Amino acid sequence: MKLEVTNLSLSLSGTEILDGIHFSAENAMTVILGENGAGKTTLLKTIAGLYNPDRGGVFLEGRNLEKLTYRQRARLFSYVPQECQAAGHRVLDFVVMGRNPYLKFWQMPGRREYAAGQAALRELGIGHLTDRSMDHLSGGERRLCYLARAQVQEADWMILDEPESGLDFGRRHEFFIQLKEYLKKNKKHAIMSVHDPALADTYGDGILFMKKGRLISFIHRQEKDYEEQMAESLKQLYGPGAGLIREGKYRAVIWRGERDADH
Amino acid sequence: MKQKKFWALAGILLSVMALSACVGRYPLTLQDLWAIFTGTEKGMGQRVLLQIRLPRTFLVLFCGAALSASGMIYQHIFRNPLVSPDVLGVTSGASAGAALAILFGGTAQIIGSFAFGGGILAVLFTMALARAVGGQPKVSLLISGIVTGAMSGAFLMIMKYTADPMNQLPSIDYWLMGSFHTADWKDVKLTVPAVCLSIIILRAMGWKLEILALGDEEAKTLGLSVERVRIGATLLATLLTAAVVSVAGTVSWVGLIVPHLIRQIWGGDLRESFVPCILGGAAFLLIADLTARSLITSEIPVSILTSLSGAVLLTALLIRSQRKGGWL
Repeated sequence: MKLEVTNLSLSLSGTEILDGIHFSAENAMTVILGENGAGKTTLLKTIAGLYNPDRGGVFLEGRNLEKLTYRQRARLFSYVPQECQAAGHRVLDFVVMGRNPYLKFWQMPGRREYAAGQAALRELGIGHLTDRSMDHLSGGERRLCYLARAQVQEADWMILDEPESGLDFGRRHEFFIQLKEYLKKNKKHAIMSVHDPALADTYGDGILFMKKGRLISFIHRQEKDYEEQMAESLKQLYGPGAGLIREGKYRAVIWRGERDADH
Repeated sequence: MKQKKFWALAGILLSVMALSACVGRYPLTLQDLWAIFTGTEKGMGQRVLLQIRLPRTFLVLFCGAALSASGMIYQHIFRNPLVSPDVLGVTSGASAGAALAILFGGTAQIIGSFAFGGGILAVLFTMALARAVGGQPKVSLLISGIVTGAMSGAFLMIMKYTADPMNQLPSIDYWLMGSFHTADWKDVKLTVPAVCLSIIILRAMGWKLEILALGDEEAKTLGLSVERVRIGATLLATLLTAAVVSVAGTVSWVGLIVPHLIRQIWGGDLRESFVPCILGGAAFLLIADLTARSLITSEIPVSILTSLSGAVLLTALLIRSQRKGGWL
């Protein structure tokens, strides 16, 4: 399933947020890096169909998505927002809501839907949360519930907005490993914004660099000069301090600051 | 646990219904009720029960259910625990519509449809105004509701000013205060179908409304046609309020306080708390009506009691939840 974004421009209340974004992606995991306010969230929301672009469009396998209803669109894209703040529901009931695009208007979720919800929760290792209330979960558990809901939605593309925020070091990596396993197993795709370049480097198959509403580069892991491109783009985005070093088989994103010598 | 509480609530409702059928100027005992229903007693008691007590009991029951259901739905779709038919201006809009119909001497059906029309106009105006004002959605909705209420109030005053002070004015005034003393089977027949229909449809929409509660953006990405569900639920909730206003006038506070009380016990999930809310609203209004007609020898408007007890209960809830830390 090839996702194409063509010459996408969007202004919100008079300010231009996205300016001529143009790329096409068919990797399992595409990651967007960019400063705060670069337009990452707006781009993701536009792909999810929450904003209508002023110019350009979003295409999936050559199909323009603008004409689709929310229901049709929800079968193609699932969305995990930046703020996972749902409250008041039982975890399983919340996860089952991901089946909504497949149910008729008056149809309530039945045994099949609940079984799918339970399976997704078990697979993510949070089966014990099934009957808990969303109100009393930690940030990490809550995010996994959103991930479970997105999986149950069975959309071809999963859109995640800063999925790592609010997770500790270990949980971040667990989250990405679980996500990657799911994508591989089900032949699905994900596009997400991330703030940590190290995560992008570790898990992203393709990395989009955004600055002030524009795309500055799109690099792919399997390319030969990936490391040079990555180092170059990091410098462009974050300044000369940012860089990439390699030691044996390990690679790390680093920041050369004033006190570089002490570290 | 919740099961037990549900049956407790149902038990309370049944006993209040029985009490409401028995208590009055012409008291009946439970044995009398049994005798009337089995047909052994025919006479004064039978007439009192069938023509006065039962229609009133049923009307109050359905009005209480309708108001609290409508309040809960409004609070749910606007994701705002502070709204109710009163706060959104629906009640005053419906009152203004109904008063207009009274002024022109409309029949019960016309009063009903005018009340519905007024209520719909009011709630749509409130929603549009809130959107135009922008800013913090919870606050702008409340302010818009106040504006709508004030405008309908002004409209109502114009009508009262032009009303004939001997006949029309007192009837508008007394009706506005809310009362069930004129209740008869005609009112029941007018109200019950609208109330039942709305409640059944809203109940069937429960799951969609739960998705709506996640917020517009999330609901859209889950494939919900947000506007359609919200408008549909708003129309039905307004129909519920208008059905009450057209037969009983303004009965305030029920739609705000009962959903809050119910949520304290059954939690925020609409699918679990909707039916208890209906039963609770029916019981609450029955108790208020029972008190209104038996407290002193002449009957007092029921709104006096619902406002008074509603205000006290809300204050108690507020203080309690402030101590528990946060609620709004």
